[in-house]
Parts: sequence; C-alpha cells; structure tokens
Amino acid sequence: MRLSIIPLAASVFVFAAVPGLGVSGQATEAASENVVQLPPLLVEDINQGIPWVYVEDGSRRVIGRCDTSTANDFLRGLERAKSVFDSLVPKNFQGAYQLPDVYVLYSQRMKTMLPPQLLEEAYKRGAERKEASERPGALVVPNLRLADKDNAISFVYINEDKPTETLFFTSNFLRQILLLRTPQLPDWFMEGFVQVYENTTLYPDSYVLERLKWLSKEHTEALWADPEFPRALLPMDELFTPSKYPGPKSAEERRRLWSAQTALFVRWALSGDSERLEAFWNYVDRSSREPSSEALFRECFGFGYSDARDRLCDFLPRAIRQPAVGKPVVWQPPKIPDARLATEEEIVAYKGDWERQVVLYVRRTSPTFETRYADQARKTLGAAALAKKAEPRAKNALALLEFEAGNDAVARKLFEELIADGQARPRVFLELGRLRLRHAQEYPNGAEGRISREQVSQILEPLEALRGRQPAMSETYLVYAAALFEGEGIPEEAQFQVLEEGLRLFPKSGPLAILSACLRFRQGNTVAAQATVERGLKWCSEPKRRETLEKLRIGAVVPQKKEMPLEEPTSPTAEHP
Amino acid sequence: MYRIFGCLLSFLALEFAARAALPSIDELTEFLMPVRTDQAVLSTDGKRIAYTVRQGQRLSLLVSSVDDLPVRRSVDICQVEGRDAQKLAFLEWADENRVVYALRRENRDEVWVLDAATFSTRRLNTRGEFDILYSPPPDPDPEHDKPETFDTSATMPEEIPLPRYPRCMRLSPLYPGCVVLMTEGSVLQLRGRESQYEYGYEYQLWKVPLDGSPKKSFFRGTYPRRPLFDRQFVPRLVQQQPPGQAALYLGSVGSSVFSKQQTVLSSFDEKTQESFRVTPANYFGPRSVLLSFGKEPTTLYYASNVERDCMALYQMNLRTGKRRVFELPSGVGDFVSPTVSHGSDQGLVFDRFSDELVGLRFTETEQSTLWIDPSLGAVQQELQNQLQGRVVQVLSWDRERKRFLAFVSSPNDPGRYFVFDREASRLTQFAKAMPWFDLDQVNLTDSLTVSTPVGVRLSAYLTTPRAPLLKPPPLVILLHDAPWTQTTAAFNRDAQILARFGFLVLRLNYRGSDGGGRNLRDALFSNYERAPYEDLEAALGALEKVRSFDKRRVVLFGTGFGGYLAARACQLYPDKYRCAVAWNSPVDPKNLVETQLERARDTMMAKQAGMLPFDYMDRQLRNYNQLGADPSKSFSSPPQAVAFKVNFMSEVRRYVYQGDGRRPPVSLLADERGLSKPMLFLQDSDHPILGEDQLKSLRRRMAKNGVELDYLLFDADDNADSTTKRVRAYARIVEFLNETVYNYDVKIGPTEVRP
Repeated sequence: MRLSIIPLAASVFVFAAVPGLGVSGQATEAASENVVQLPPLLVEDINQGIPWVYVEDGSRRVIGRCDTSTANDFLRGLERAKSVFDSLVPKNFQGAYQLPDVYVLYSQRMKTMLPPQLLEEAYKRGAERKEASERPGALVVPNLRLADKDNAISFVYINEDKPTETLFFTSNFLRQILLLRTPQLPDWFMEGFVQVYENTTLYPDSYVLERLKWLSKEHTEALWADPEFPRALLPMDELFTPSKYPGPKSAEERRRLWSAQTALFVRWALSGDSERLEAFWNYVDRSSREPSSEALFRECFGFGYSDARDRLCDFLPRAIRQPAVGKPVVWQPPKIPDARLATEEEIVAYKGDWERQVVLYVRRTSPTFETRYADQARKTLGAAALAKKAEPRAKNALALLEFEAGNDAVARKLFEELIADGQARPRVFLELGRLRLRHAQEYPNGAEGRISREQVSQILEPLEALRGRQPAMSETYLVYAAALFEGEGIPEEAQFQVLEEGLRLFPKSGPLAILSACLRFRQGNTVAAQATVERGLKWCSEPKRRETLEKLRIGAVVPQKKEMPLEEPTSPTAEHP
Repeated sequence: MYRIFGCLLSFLALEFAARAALPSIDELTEFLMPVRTDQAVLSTDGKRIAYTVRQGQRLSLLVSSVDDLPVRRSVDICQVEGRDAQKLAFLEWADENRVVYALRRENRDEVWVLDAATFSTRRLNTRGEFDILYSPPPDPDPEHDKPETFDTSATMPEEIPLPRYPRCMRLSPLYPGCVVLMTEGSVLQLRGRESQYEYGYEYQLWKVPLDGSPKKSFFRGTYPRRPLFDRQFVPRLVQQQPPGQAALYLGSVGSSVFSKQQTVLSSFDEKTQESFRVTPANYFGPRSVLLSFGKEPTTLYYASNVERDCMALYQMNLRTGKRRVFELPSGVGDFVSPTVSHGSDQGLVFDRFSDELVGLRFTETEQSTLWIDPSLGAVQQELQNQLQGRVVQVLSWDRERKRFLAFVSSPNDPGRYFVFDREASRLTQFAKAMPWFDLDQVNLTDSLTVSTPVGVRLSAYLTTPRAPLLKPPPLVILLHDAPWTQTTAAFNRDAQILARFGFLVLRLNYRGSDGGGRNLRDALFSNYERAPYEDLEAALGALEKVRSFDKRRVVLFGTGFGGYLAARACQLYPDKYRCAVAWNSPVDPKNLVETQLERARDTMMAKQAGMLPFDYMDRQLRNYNQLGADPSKSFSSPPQAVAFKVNFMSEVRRYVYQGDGRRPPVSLLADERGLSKPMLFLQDSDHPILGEDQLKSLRRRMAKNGVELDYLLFDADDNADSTTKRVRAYARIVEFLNETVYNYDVKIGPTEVRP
C-alpha cells in the first residue's frame, strides 16, 4: 500500500503546548528565506504492523494508522477546538457540509519510512504560519485539508507522543468554514474576521484578541506611543461596498487600508459589550442578505456611518494598546465511542476519496505528477468501490474520479446508478446536471440550435434535487440558469424562483445575475430584469461582470452563449492555502 | 373588634431617589479642561499641517507631514495661563515651509516664524520695539494762576514709555515673504477749530520680512478709532464718537475710491448711509454694519436689517451700485449677528492665494458656509457626503486646491481636524479638539422645535443622560445670556456635565436670543415679565410630547441675564420650578448698567490694555483744556488715550435693560412675592455686575421663608485659571442640585388602625 504525504499547504490546525516541549524552538523560528514548494511524494506503505483504526461522532469521521487512544484523543481535541471556535464564530455564520468532516491520521511513528527532510520541511512550513509563529510554544500538527464542493478531508501527520487535547483551528479552517456559508458573507467581513482570528490567541477555555497591528510597524508604534497620532480611515460606505469606489491612483495603498480597517471594525465589534456584539452579528447577517447601506447600519447599531467612523478612529489606539479577553468557554467533554479497527471498506472509501482529492491538488500544484496520483487513486478504489459491501463513499469517489479525469460516459453511468440507488452525495447531482448540459450543448434537439425543453428538464432534474442541501453550491444555480438560457422558450415562473433563490444565496455571483437578467429580458419583464441588473451591480465586484451588467443596464448588449461562464471566479468551496 | 392591618403609609409621598455621587475633581476637570487643539492650518502646497496642542498651561505647535504621517515635530510656543500667559492670536503658513504665528499679551503681538524644514523659530518683533519714550517738558510757568478747578493732584513722571501696540494683521499676496503688522497707540491732537485737545490714535502699518530683514512702514495715520482698511491696506472708513454722545458715526477717510466727489459712503443712498450710524436705540434695531472690502476696493460687504426682520449680508458694487443679497438658507434668522462691529470680517472667507472672497460663514442651528466659489461648494458637498450628519467646515486649502483642511464636529462630538486629499479621496484625521470625550460615553443631543402660543418657533437642544439616576429623569433648562448670545447645536460641555449627573438638559433659544431677528429680540425687550416665561412654558409642553421627565424636578440654570430669568421664574412660578442656579447674574438687572460698575469695567479694560488709569488721564485732559495750552509744549501729560468717556456699549445695555419708555425687568427684591425656592448664585469677584449687598438682602428675605440662598464668590486667584474656577463652580452646582433635586424627602403618614 502507498501513502501520499503532502507538504503543508492548507493546514487547518495548530496544536498548542507549553513552551519547552521540544519543538517550540522550531515554531518561533521565523522563516525568511524563500520557501520551495515540494512536489508531493508517494511513499511505500511498509508499516503493516500498524492497523487502521476508526472512530466517529455526529459530524466527524477519524480514520488513521495510529493507536485507538490517539484517534480518540484527537477527536476529543477537535471537539474542544470547535467549542472555542464556536465561541468566536456563532454557528449560523459557519457553513457546513452535509457529509461529515473526515480526518485521516498518519502516525509519526512511521517516520522511519519518510525522508527526514520532508518532515523537517513540513514542520518548518507549519511554523511559518502566522498562528504558530506568533504563539510561543505552539506546536504544529502537519496537516492538509482538501475541500471539495460537498465535503472536506484532512490528512494529519500526527505525533502520538504529544497530547492533542489543545488543538486550535487555523485561519485557513475559519476561511473555509466562512466561505461555505450561504447567503455568502460580505467581503469586508471575511477580510476583517480572518485577520482578527489570526491575531487571536486561543486557549482551551477562552481567547484573547491580541493587540491590533495597523498598516505598518511604524504606524502601529506611533499610535502606541501617542493615541492622538494622525490616522486615515476610509468612509464606512467604502469599507462595506468598496466596489462603488473604483480605484484612485493609490489603489494598492487603499486596498491595504481597506484590509486593515475591516480588521479594525471587526475588532471594535468583538471588543464591545453584548449589545454591540449582537448588533454586529445582526449587521453581518443582514449584509449577507441585502446590500450594505447606512440605513441598515443605523438599524443595527443605532448610529450612522459618520459616528461609526469616528468611533473606529477613537478605538484604533485602544485596540493597539490593549488586548481584549473573550468570554470563558464552558466545555463539556462529549461522549465519544471508543475507536475500533477500521473495516476494509472504510479504509478503501476514505483513503480512496482522499487520494482522489489529492489528484486535484496535484493537478494545480504539480501537474506532471497527476497521472501517477490518479493511478494510485484508481488502484485504491478500483473494483473495491464497486463491490456489493462497499461504502457508498467509495463508489461516489470513483465516479467523481472518472468525471474529473474527463471520462464523461463512465462518470455519467456511475452518477445515474448512485442517484437511482439513493447513495449519491450532493456533488454527484451537480456534476450529472453539468454532464447533461454539456451533452445537450453538443447535441441540441431544439429549434435554432437550442436545447429542447425535454433536454432542459433532464438537466434541471438532478439540480432540483440539490435545493435545500448543505452546502448550497453556486454552480447548481449557474448550470440551472445556463440550461434555461440555452434552452427553448421562456422559463416558467417556478424556475425563475429557483434563480431568485440562487441570487439570494450567492448575491455576489455576477454570472448568475447576468443570466437571470437575460432570461427576464427574454420573458419581457424588463422591470424584473432591470432590478436583477441593479442588484448584480450592487453586489458584484468583478470588473468584467460589472461591465456586462452595465451594458445590460443600458440595453446595449445581450451576452452570447459562449460568453456564459459556468464557474465562479472563486468557488466558495475552493481551497485557500 | 378591631383588626390591625399594620402600619399603612396612607399618605405616602415618596420622593425617590438616589443621590448622585458627588463628582470628583478629576472627573469635572476632564469635562472642563481647555480644548486641546483649537487651531490648525494647511501649508500652501498641502503637504504639511500645523496645529496647536495644549497640555496643561503650555501651548505647542505640532507640524506633521500629510503624506508621511510619522514625520512630525512639535515646538513649545507659549504659556497660556498664569502671569505671563499669552494667547495665540494668529497662525498661518506663509509658504510651503514657513508658519507665521503671533502671541498676544496685553494687546501686543509678538510675531514668530517657524521654518518647518529646519524646525527653527525666529521672533520678528519684540514686545516694546515700537514703543515711544515720552519726556514731558517742564512746566513753563509753575506760578501760573491756574483755575480753581485745576487739579493739582496729577503729577507727571519725568519719562513715560508710550506703548505702541503691535497687532499681526495678515499675510497678503501683495507682500509675499512678509507679514503685515499694525501698530497703534494714542496721540494728542487738536479738535477742529475749538483749540481743544483730544486723544486720538495713531496707526501704522508695517511690512515685516519673514527672513528678519528690516521692517518697513508703508502707512501712518491718526484716527479717532481704528479705520477700516481695504484689502490693499488703504484706510477707507472710520467710526467716530463725538464727545459726550452715545452714537457712532461712520465717515470716509483716506484717498477716495473713485474721485473726491465720490467716497465710499456717497455710493450709498441717503437712507443706507444713515443706517450705518449706530445708537443705543438702533443697536438691536434696524441698522447696517460694514464688514469688509472685497479684493477690489469697489466691492463692499455689509450686513443690514433695514426694512427687514433679519440681518442679511449684502455685496455692493460701489461703481455700479448693484447689490447682491445673501440670506440664511432657512430665510429665518440673522446672517450676521447684530452685535458685530464695523470691520469685523469674521464670517467672510477669503482665498489666501487670490484674495478673492470665496465664502460666507454663518450660524443657523450650526456653523455653516455659503460658498460663493462653486468649486469649494463641490468640495464641501463631497465631504458632506462622506461625513453625513456632521458639521463640516472647510478651513483652508492648498494652492492647487487638491487638499483641504476641515473641522468636523457634531452635537455629540467636540470636533476633529481632517485633511481631505481630493485626488486620493483620502480623509486623514490629525487632531481632536477634546480627545478625552469618548463617543461611547457622550450623552446624546437632539434638536427640538418649540412653538409658543403666539406662533413663534424657537430652537432648542435636548441632551439625554445615558444613565439617569431617576426615571423619568429630572430636567435642567439652561438659559444663556440675552440678547448677546444664543445656543447652538454644537457640542455643549455644560449640558454634558449635567447629563452626566443624570439630568435631562434642555437649552432653549428663548425670545431675545442673538441671531433670531429683530421681532424676536423686541418681544423680549417689550415684555420682560412675560415673553421668556411663556417660552419656558412652551418648551416644557413641547418636551413633554417627545420625552418623559420628572415635572416635579425642573431646574433653571442661567448665566448673565439668563441667570436672572432663572431666579425670577422661580419667584413668579414656584409651583413649576424646583430651584435656580445663576452665574454672574444680577439680582436687579439694573446692575447691568450701573455707572459705578461701568467705571469698574473701564478701569479693568484699561488695565488689561496696559493703559494708564482712567481717572488720572481724565483729570489731566481737563487741565489742558482749562489752561488753553498746547499740552505737548507746556505743562503736559503724555499723549495717552483712555477709554471713551461715554461708554457706548454701556449705553446700549442701559437701553436694553432699562428701556426707553418700556417696562424694564423687575428686581428680585422689588417683588413682594415670596422667594421660596432654593437658589445658588455664583459670582466672579471682578465681574461688573456683582451686587453683594443685594445678594445679602435676597438671602435675608429667603431666610424668612426658611429657604437658603447659596452663594459662591470666586476671588481673584480663582479667576487666574478658568478651568479650576469652573471645576469649583460645577462641584458646587452638582452638590447644590444633589441637595435640592436628588433628596430623600419621605413623608410618612400617621399609622392607621382599621377595623
């Protein structure tokens, strides 16, 4: 058996320990030299003596080559880390997968078979992470979390000699969780909250928002020394809707200021009393559902933009000088069943799915290795996934592996079987819709080269089944809209409602706004079309899409079929290393 | 059979209350300490800003780069309190590197220049540099038979320094690299053909090079008062007060604008010309006030309320006679306060580069600017869009008009100085006026409109306590001095202090307030005994509709005439008002015009101005004129001017408070009605309206009713430091209010036994 070890790219947790526990020296050592991206390594699994173990709770699955106690402790550590995380980020702002999170543990006892420099590099790069480098004594658990559209799997290279009761999630984890949330969270919030989180010291039962860093060391020190030191802040309207203020000459400087101010605003809100905190979360939620405005802000906070800007201005030196201590987190250790030996089917399913996702990662980072990784995944999944006793996850993984490899016919057959058997994971529905659209585009049955009504309904059928499932995927609505756009006739009102739903969940999606507006124009409902265009302009920040929307606004152009994008510029479930 | 239900408090009259914790000195000092930054200027290239920073008794000037914020330095410029205190009277950038500032003490300006590149300072003049040393000649005929009335008590020293008071005027594009300085001092001169001597003032203008080169005088002239110069520094007009008259006439002086036949004044019709004459009777009535010339001497700006209720601002082209009128946007209220004097150009905004008039400042409910230059209007709009709900005052700009210095404030924020970079759309905050006020702690202020039963609309401002001690909270109504001042929406520290101690605070522009127009002022003058109290009643009615307050705990707190109104209201309507606080207020409004007190005021003013005592100079001048001799050649005194013998403003006050056939306000002692409400009077010892005897009488009368008059007199030492004085005053006020408003007054009825 081979096991792939990937250098750190998107770690999701660090692991805190008291200083002096050996590895802390590495953690505090800042790496200023250039970091070389290591190619993924394929390692022969020769540790036959260490069995695979398995443990699960409601929303997590841990499978690994380690002791059962390690797996148990790790799962408990995850629960505890999550409770601290939840005290900072209310649950209704966290996106979630319908499928449980999967953690593949790999013991460092097996390091003898790993090149020592790989381990060293993994630690070093982990130590460079902000969370670790700024937290003396923090140890890094080398790990990689790969997020698919409907599920995430983390590979963890675990040191069984160190306790894992004090795991903390990194900002990457936070970012992935926030990106999953629908309706999409506003950009200013994502930017600011992640920065504040990165600058937060997490403890097992509380957290401390550390002193804010402002623009540069020079500025920060000056404000530390003199609270009346001059400062430039953006108007709040620009902070919340930067797209309304296209770049002045000093665009980069402004972007830096915007970023710093988003953190200042979040820090101000989180440092306030419960009333301010409630107003803040209310505002974040409302801002994800409707465009930001002063009226909305006033409704939530009780004062307007000018007051808010002045308050931020006044708060800035305080945030630089004083850390803020969060409320203590009350944690009840959950009851976790004991880990057991994993079944062969479980090993195939989780390991296979992991390897499938590694293929995508390798495709982006080291394309020359893709074939080798794809072969490895096929070897793991292969016939085992199609066996009667196989875990559904294995067959789903195999189907997606074929889809991702471009074997449309094989993938489509497997997708349809999985749906028919009621075993399909959410992404299967989406990709089946996409495959059908692709096929219909190639062989349109409708008049004037358009997709026939029957073809449209075949495409929409699996997509309809996805509605209401977590996480909502923007592509679902994009494929849906594209099918209608290329299809014959005028969509029904119920179909428009699906598009409306998509716009509500993904208001920043320029392509969806464009397609929806075009369909409304086709329907002859110019009022609704213009409203969609206006809404798109309020939300969308991507220049090209805005340009198209501007043209639509003045009725200058209707986009052609080939111009219709079916992928978002940034997928909400994309990995953010 | 009787059943005892126990003690029933059948006549329970519980006055609940928590006493306010008495304020600590530190807390009050935080409220009352002087503004930290109150002046700021932008360099001509917009790359630097200079602003004042007050720390304790010292004032510094801080110069900061606009582009590279960490680059900044400060220089200590003067002491602003204590014996050698100076005041920053002028601050402006001469160019991109040099800041000119003037420090004033005893009416003399010391002008300094700070080179921001090298950060070195240079003093351009010394205190006594322009003084003249006068040696009185010996009496030529000591045995001369002097008239019986001759006052021999006036003896002369051998040498007397005659002060010439330097005053920094401005930087003008006419004299680049120089600052224009004016010196003024008194001279004796013959009056007309009567061979009588009178005092006049000599005025001299100087170009003072900033590099320290010798100063050059470019104008010298003698006038009875300071003339009004045009923008080219040519004297055009001057006011005169004929001896013994309580009237000021405006006359043309210097070279005429067009020809000898056409002077500035002759460009106006007779009626308007006449309206420039000011008397006590028309001071608050219909008249015109000349403000300034435009860039060209053919343009004149004046304010007038002739044939209208409110003061409007006029731009007059003297050549064509064309007039343009500016009114408040609301159309109601004075564009310019009638209390401004001729030549006051405070509300006019000139571009320092072109010397053109570009805007007009005015106060409606808040400070605003009417921009004549549309490009500045556009900047104002841009800033206003960014800072909605704020009062934005564009103060200055760079040569290219790319960067603008603005003072931004609100009823809840004392204000901040920003530099707005228009190109980068960047707004940088450089300083706060009072950084110790926390926006999260400030008590919020809203506007309120009060309609009186006679249909008059009054403006008022309501400050709500964040943490009231009682619910509903007690109310304090603040009454300002009238008719000299008004209250505006701007951040008000008095209201903040009182709200901090749990009071709802209402500031009311009652009829008679400044800025409200003639009719509103006349309404007060014509009926002192009714109008203000009707307004108070209307205010309470209006307030009741929008906010709940404890009607049994309504306090009146006034300064000057407002304090008198507060006390009088308690006397007239004891059932409505709980108590009164009066600060520098008369028991009898006649005190406001008492001759003796006027003299005291004149002496005080003369002393402050570094003049010789009034009485001494008066006797001397009488002697000269009785001798019929030229005092500069014979028995003589120095040519030293004194305060005017007929104090014009005293006559105005006399007209206002004693009336002209109208019923004057009534003394608290003259009314037989009882004085049953507690009162606190606070007085500055050197304030001219001090009436200690009357206060004692008032105290005796109140004592008969079992009520105490609380009295706090500040001695001269207190006056030296206004913060300390105000802190002491407020400590006493809060203590007084604690005793009279937040008291435990529990009346328990008799125990009742019921069957």
